[in-house]
Amino acid sequence: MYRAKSVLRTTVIAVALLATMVGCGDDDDEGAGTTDDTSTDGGADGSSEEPSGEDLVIGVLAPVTGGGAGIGEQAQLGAEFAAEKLNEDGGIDGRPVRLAIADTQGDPTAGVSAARRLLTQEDIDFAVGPAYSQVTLATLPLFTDAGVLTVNVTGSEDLTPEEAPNSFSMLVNARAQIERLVEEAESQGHSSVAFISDNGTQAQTALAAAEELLDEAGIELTGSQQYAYDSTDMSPQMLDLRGGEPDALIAFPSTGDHAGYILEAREQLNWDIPVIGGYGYTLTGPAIEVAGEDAFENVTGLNYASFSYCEEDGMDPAVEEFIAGVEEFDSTVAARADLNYVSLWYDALHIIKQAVEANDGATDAETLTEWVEGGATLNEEVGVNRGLTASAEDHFLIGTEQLAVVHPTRVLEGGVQQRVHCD
Amino acid sequence: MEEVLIITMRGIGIGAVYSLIAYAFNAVFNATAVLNLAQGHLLVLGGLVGAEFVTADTSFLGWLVLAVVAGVLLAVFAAAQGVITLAPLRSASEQWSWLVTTLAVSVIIDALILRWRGPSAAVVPDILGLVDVLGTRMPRTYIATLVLSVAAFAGLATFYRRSRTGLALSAMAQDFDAARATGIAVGRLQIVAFAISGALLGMGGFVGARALSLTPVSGLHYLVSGFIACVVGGLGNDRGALIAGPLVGVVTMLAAYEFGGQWQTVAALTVLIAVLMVRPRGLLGSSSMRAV
Repeated sequence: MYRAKSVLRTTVIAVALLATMVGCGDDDDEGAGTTDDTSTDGGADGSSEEPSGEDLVIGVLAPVTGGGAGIGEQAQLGAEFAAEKLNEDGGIDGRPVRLAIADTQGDPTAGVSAARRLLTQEDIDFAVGPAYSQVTLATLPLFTDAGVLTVNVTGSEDLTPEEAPNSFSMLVNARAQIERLVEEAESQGHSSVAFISDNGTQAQTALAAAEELLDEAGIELTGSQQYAYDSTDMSPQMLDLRGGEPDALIAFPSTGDHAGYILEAREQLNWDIPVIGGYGYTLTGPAIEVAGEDAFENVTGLNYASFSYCEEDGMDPAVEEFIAGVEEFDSTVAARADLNYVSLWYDALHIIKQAVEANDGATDAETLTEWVEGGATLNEEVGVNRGLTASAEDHFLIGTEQLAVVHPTRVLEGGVQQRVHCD
Repeated sequence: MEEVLIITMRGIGIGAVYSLIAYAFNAVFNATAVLNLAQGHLLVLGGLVGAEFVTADTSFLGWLVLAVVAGVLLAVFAAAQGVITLAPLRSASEQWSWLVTTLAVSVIIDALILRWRGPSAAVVPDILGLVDVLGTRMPRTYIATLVLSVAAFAGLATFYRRSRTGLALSAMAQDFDAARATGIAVGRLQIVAFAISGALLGMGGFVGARALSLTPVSGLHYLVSGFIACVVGGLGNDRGALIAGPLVGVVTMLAAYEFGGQWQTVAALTVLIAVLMVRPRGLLGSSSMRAV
């Protein structure tokens, strides 16, 4: 018995330690892995605009290993493809682009080490990434102190200009998504909605924004529910929400399979309610695997406007070119990637190019930040996601104008989805 | 009231998986005094056998055969893990290396899954379908897991009481030193215990795959849930595990319904603490001091 108690006590401690190490739950999964740094030379193909001179070094902070490795793979794809394209087109201000990839492992501590290495050993001029809020918040002070402009791909509301004076975000934040979803609920004429999401940080922000914006719109929030990241059966949550008799359900999943589990529960409970879905509903592959295509009746999702189309117009030629290009660059990774997410990392490098060239080759963070904050419209003629702006009050480049409500299952190549509103 | 019944039935179904994990814990612990911290990850591997081989065209008979295959594959894997785990224990004076080796195996499994399947969740086609319950439709997966849990309990009980190997394992659980002194091949039987745990988890993961989250990072969740069921039922006691698994499943589901999904883990841990405060040895755990 003494031996059993001792074993039990030790095991409880070990499990608690493991849980702390590995981390459970939300979109900020952390994982173990080794730091793996590679530098990638952007190569010129011998075109007449071959870049020359000293390399412009851009650090890429992404979770190459660990639980977020899928995101890291897509980040690398976008950044490396962008570097190749930039060098084919003459580089940035005539200078060749060289990438320095750093593995954050999805972990703030590893992220800080990676950022330090980029600054001290690689002597980077700029950085793109990281991808997770906690990693971004942990690494930003280093880049700020070093005077390095960064374009992160994080949606945390904590990334205010005060916290991140020289950093701009390419990811749509939770509030912008909710603004768009509330607009859609109004457009559909609903007087009450329920809300379901995972229990992650971004979802908490989304819920707070939903409470505020629904109240402003005069739409009643009949109930809200959350699920843990490892949940597959959402029926308890959906039964609770059904009790409030809402007109519609705002669903804010962070993964495609969670989007599917919500719809699966709706189907199994025979609850015929419209679903106004967030970005997670553009990840239709995994969602259809879980719930089936029939479950998408009366469901809308939210995608980047560039990755949406109207039947009469077809796909944006710039997006079509991007999709073809990235598939040719690496067909294996492209086949399993969410190309709208890849486009964010692709655009991040193009934003750096525009900022540098508009400022006569300047690379200091202060000059470029001032230029971006001063009303410059980015990606008017280059990149994938068009018409990006920021201000001194808001460093999020993707706003509600860059989002479109879509039919998730009406999809063209590359994940381009049909818009709901095409007037 | 209807909602509570619906949730209770689903909770029993997912709780049956926790029972299977608890049986696996018990099988290894009773023979070796080791708690295999890779149990949750082995369960996920069992589910991934389904993701790899089950298609929409798989017949029910084919699915049953694959369930057995999953059990066999994981039995072999777990037996190999047993060899690695137990080898250092045979010679060292310190007997805590199992903590490191079983944790290491869990991390290795996660890495292997990430390499093999990528980071996204694997989804297994639904072969069993749905059954109408109180105006809703419930996955038959929950019925299958309950059937498997009860069958496993009955099978293990019969095995431990009626077979020579089972009797030897029971003897080791009661008094390891005495069992060894009588000439029982304890080393070999300990590997058999690991294999039994692997078989339980392989089949459990396969049968319950539609209800499980099959990602490289889900193993920890099932380790914790199964461990809670094991301790609540009484460490080493399969009858306790049979009851505690569904208890934990129902409590966590009801907590999600009443208070929100963010309280599910808290609810499970509350059950653990509450039971241990009232009955430190678990619901059906027995006191182990033996009068001499």
